[in-house]
Amino acid sequence: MVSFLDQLHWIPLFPLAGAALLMVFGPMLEKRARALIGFIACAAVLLSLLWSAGAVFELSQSVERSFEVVKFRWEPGLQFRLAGGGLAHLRADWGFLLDPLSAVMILVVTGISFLIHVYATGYMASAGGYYRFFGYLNLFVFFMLLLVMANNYLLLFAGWEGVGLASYLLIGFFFDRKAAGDAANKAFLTNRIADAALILGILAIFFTRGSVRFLDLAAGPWAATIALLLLIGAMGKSAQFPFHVWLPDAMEGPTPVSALIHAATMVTAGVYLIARSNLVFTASPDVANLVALVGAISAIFAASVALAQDDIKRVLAYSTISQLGFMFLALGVGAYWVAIFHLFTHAFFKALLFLGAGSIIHALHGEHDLHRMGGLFRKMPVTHATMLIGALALAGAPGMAGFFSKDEILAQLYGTGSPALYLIGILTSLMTAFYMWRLMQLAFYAKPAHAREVRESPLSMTGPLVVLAGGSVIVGWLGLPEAWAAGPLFQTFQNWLEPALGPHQEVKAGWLAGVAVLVAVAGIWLAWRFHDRRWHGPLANLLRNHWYVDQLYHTVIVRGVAHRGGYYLGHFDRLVVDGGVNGAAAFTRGLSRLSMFWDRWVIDGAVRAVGTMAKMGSFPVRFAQNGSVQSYALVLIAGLVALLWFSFGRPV
Amino acid sequence: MHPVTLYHYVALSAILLVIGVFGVLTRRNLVVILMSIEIILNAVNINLVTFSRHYQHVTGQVFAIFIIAVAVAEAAVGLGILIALFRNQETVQADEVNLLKW
Repeated sequence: MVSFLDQLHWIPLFPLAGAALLMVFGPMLEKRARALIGFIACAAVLLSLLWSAGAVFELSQSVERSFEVVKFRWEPGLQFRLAGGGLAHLRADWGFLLDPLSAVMILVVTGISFLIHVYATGYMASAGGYYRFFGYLNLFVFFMLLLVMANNYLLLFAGWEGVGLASYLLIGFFFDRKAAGDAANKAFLTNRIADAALILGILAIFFTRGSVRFLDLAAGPWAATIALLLLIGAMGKSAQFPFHVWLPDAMEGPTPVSALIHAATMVTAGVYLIARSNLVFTASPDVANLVALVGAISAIFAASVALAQDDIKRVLAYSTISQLGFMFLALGVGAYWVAIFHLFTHAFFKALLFLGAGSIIHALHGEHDLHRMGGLFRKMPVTHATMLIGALALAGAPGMAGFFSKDEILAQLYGTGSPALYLIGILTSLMTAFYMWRLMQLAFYAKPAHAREVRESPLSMTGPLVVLAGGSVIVGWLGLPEAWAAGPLFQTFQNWLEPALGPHQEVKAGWLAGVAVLVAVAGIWLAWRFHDRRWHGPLANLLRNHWYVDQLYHTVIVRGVAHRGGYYLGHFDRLVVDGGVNGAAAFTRGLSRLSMFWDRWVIDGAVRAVGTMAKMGSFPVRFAQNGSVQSYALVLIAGLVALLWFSFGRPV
Repeated sequence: MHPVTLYHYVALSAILLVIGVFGVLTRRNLVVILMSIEIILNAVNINLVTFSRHYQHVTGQVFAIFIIAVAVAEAAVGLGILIALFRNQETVQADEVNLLKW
């Protein structure tokens, strides 16, 4: 019998095969069998999902709950002297690691990916480049699985960059729009900055520990440096302040891409990275505090911006940054499993919200502005119902997925963090509830601000919405110990993650949940009351322009680099590039001058010398050659006469 | 009256030869030079015919006829060159045609 666990490598290979198939045969299928393209893409991810489910089930049956399989051995290379003094070979045997943490991740990645693939067959039905879209999407799933299943930092980094590439390709999918191309570049370049820190972090891990294997990672020396570098890398990928600027712009990509890459999976890679490296973070409390600080700033900052955005996808994008900030908060206070739990629930309801938004945009033929929606409540019943669940889950309504995870984060903040962090969490929750309900009001309940015939989206789109809505209700209960009572099949989330992330701390304070619910209700009430107000004044402008961070970056960094860079580039161009060209010209000229001298004096000289020598050698005789025929004849006859004279004339 | 002997013929031939050579060397007009060459050839013919008769041998006469044929051809070619020359240089003066020199 095939063991799913032993054949772990098939999980990422299915999407890779799908991507390869689509890239090779896609152009052919695009015209003749469009349906087949969607089928191949969905089937590849479905196989991957089933295989993941099988493997995770087998893992749950095993005792040690950690399974590492090495696929390729690294040929031992140069020997290095480590920072600690010992010697080590550079090696990174690459293979896959399945432990509770990566098990959660692969289930999220393949599960959400499958639903979004199905959704995209409907959403992208009329778009050009169908095969390209699904090829990139499958490629993304491959790299994401590589990222979360890698058994060492180097392979993780390969997946990390791969998802960055897929993200770049998909943000710029509508490459004929300049905004899309610019957004893709912005995402790619912003991530590059953070990735540089990640590379340094991985190198630091190697030079202090001699191995980049996850299972070899221990606190050890240089923990703070490593943690800081990994944090910067994670901040880039997870769009945390101040690297967050790329994520809202990434909404230029097709909506399924926003849902999959920029909400549910890729952006959570940073959270995964920190949870995976939890030992070094636990060992350096200062950096852990910094993680919490970054999370707090991102959470409240992005939530405040989301209050005033009019683009439905941008509201959700800032919401994503804010929720990722929540995860970082949890990571920062050492509640790793809570962060992963929130990652897990967030993947469901944020994907759901994005897909719901996509459904609205699809129905309204590309309308993104919330103020031009409204009245969709009756016309799109399925979209409305599912999005209502998603919004309630995000806002933290009791019983929904977001309630459990966010409540747990707030409890952990209260229990282990400082009161300030808790306050920020509460304030962010209030704003979250507000902007979500504002979105719902404007999109569904407000008076219609358009005169379009609106139809509910096809089954391929509403189906995934329903499944995700179901998930958004259910998955939260996984974190509630009382719900399962340690049953044989299901375990609570924290117990499941314990082997990978260490023991969890229980915070018992029943009133905390009450506060969270109160805050959510207050936010919803405020939004219901004030949703139709157009705010004016400096604060509203500040929020609407996302605190002018993008403008600041543009002025200081982009313009600075462009301006100063242009100045130096001009010099470089004039001095080095033009210098090179002119130098080459001068060199050629010099060479040709030399060649001319050679030609003129040596070659021509030799030729002339021959001529001159002939001329000089023939000096007296050549005058006999005067061109007059008769003088020749005279000489001829004189010669003849002389000859005759000498022959016969002399007396014998 | 002296009979016309072999010596007279030979003398005539020699005189004609000298006249011809003199003409070739001294005259400037190429037409005249060509005519002088004809005279030389005829001097040779007289000589050949004379000795043919003297030795009662026919070869000399046959040879003379050959020379006449060659002379005709030579005259034709010579005049052709002359006309070509005149077309190019507009002159038939031998001393004015002296381009081919050192």
